[in-house]
Amino acid sequence: MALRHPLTFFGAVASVTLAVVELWREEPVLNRASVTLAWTMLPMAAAFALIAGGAVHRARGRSDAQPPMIMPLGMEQRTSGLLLGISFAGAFATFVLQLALLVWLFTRDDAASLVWNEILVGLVYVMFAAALGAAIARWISHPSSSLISILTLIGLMIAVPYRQGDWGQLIGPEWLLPMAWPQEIVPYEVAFRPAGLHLVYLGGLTLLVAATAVLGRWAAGWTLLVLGGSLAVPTGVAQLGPIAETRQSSVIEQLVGDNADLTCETQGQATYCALAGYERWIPLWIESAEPILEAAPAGTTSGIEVRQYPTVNPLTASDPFEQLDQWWFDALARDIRARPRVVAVGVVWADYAAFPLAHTLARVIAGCGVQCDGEAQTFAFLWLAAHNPGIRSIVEGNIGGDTAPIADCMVAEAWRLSSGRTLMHANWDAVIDPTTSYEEAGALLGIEVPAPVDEFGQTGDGCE
Amino acid sequence: MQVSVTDVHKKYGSRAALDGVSFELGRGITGLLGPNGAGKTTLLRCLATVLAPDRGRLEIFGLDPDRPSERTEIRRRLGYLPQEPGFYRNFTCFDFIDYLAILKEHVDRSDRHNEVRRVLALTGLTDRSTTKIRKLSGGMRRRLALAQSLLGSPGLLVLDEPTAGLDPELRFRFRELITELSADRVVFLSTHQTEDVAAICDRVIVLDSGRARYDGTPSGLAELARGNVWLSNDRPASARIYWRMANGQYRAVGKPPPNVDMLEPTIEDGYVMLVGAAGLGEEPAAA
Repeated sequence: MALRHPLTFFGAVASVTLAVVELWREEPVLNRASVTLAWTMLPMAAAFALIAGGAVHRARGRSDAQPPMIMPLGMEQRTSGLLLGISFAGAFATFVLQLALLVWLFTRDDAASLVWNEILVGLVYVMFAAALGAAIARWISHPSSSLISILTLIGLMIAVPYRQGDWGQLIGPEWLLPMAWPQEIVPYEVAFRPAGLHLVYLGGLTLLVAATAVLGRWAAGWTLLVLGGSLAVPTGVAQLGPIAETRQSSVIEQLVGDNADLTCETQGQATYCALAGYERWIPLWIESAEPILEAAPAGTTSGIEVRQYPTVNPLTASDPFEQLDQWWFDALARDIRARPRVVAVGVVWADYAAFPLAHTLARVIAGCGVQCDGEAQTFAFLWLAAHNPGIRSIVEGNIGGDTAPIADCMVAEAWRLSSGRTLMHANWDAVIDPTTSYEEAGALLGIEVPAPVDEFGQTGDGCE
Repeated sequence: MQVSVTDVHKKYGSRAALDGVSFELGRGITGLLGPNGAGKTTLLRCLATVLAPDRGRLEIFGLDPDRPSERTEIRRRLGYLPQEPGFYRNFTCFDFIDYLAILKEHVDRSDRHNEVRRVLALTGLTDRSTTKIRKLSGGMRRRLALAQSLLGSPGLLVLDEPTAGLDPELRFRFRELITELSADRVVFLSTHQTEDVAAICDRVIVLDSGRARYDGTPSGLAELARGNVWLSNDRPASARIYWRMANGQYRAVGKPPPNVDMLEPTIEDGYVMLVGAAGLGEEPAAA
């Protein structure tokens, strides 16, 4: 009957909606998605906390003088029967939801591998919530126990601030909570998440809470208490343990550097290298890079390598100096600096991720560093990058304003030339020379260069 | 004797609901009469192990309901029909009885379902076993409540107003059923229907203000009103209670005036004399 309860429906709809909102925008990375498939089950957990609490209240009846209360089986046994039925119904329903979401993810360009320990945390959490709802209702006979259940669940998730250590791991008591949030800027490959230990710990915690729901003269309650404690205490302590020193170098060696576990594929003029489990994304990178590579002059794209690094922010993958406080970023930054023709991509891919790939690729071909030093060089980089539809839209938006960057205006002029590409190719070396000015480049290409109106290289009306 | 109640007291605040009640019950049907607030439901709840007396002693099948383990054993052998059974309205009749059968430790599924079918058949609800409780009439719900009290063939049946809300046919069926069941068990029922007491009870206890005012046979209760029941053509001034009959005459109970036609007293008359006497501080006429 728990499966037919209206709250089950609402919880399922809310959980699925939450998961879809979280996962639809980017191509699924299954290790991170596994964590998402856990925490998005929070609405289901809330629903089953309420269902279990309501069932315990109903079992109590409106007064002690009703038949259910005058039966040999006491409230402890009754609660345990309800709890078993409801928590396993919740687990079943949650598993069905998670499987459905997985099927949806598999229809897309998924990468990496599932982490079942993380996924099952969501399922066990629903059982934990059911036990919590039943326990609170068992000892607080007032209907307000439902509200207390929900507030407790919310409090468990937000009351303790999450602090991150050098490893991207949670430090302090956060892992003792039922659910540990993923770290947004830390790739799963380098984050320390003791998922297996945490799953067992959560199971023990669930048994402990279930024990409080059925405590009484019944021996089974005390047995549950001991069993739950035996599971929760050692695993709780173990998951807070220090990280082995040898782990750092072994993780880095697998992900960054000459010995990284990469699968490489050469396509046309560039080589594309993906971390283990991300090979399906190579065609996506190729699709984004090809317009830039085809527009580039012959001979300027040799040695280009689109290489994946463990970072969730594609932009900072190409500009690594912003996140030096992450323990693995130092190795990542050094490796990128050692490869002048590398275009770094991260472990996130979406439509918006094509932009930084094209941006970095154009910079590398135009000979720019982190940013382009010369005026004409900036124009050349932008002309090349605007072969990406997203960047082109930005340029088109810029030139329609009251002021516009001069380089954007020159790109718009180059588009109008029927021989724009031919002229660019013919004068490429001169244009990407950092000492070449806008006017000199304009003279080479036959493009009118607007006068600047400020010190930022912006021009006024007339650019469009 | 299977049930022994000795000097039982129960107070709610300063009000004494039971004020030194003592009696014993054996096989057969004992009726409990009394006005509203007399303490009937409180007494029944004590026997059903819902309430513990403040003072006095209860013994059921030789067991003490004050001890948890013995209380559980009593509940295994007890069937209780409360005034409000607390139905789960979305359950079917079968599901509800089945649920209570589980709580009554009928663990074997096949045996339990047979037991459920048995009690539903006893109360004439076989055809309604798949009907949801919220769709049942008041009378059928009462029968369902009675059915759950019969689970496991309990040795003690405690029934609180079992015929309340039943039509005459159902009340007759109930009498028939209870009479059959009483052959080998203790049945203790409270009721406002003196006709039920007259029809099926071997013994009747009248409770008033927490005290047992009468404990004896139904005919003995009626005898308390002998010489105090008469017919009158006019409104009888000296009657404690009277009513106008279909033929226009008044039937009166109380202190009769001289030269009136006396009537054979009923249990109801005896009850009125007893409770009325207590209320007015008068003694009934000699039996």
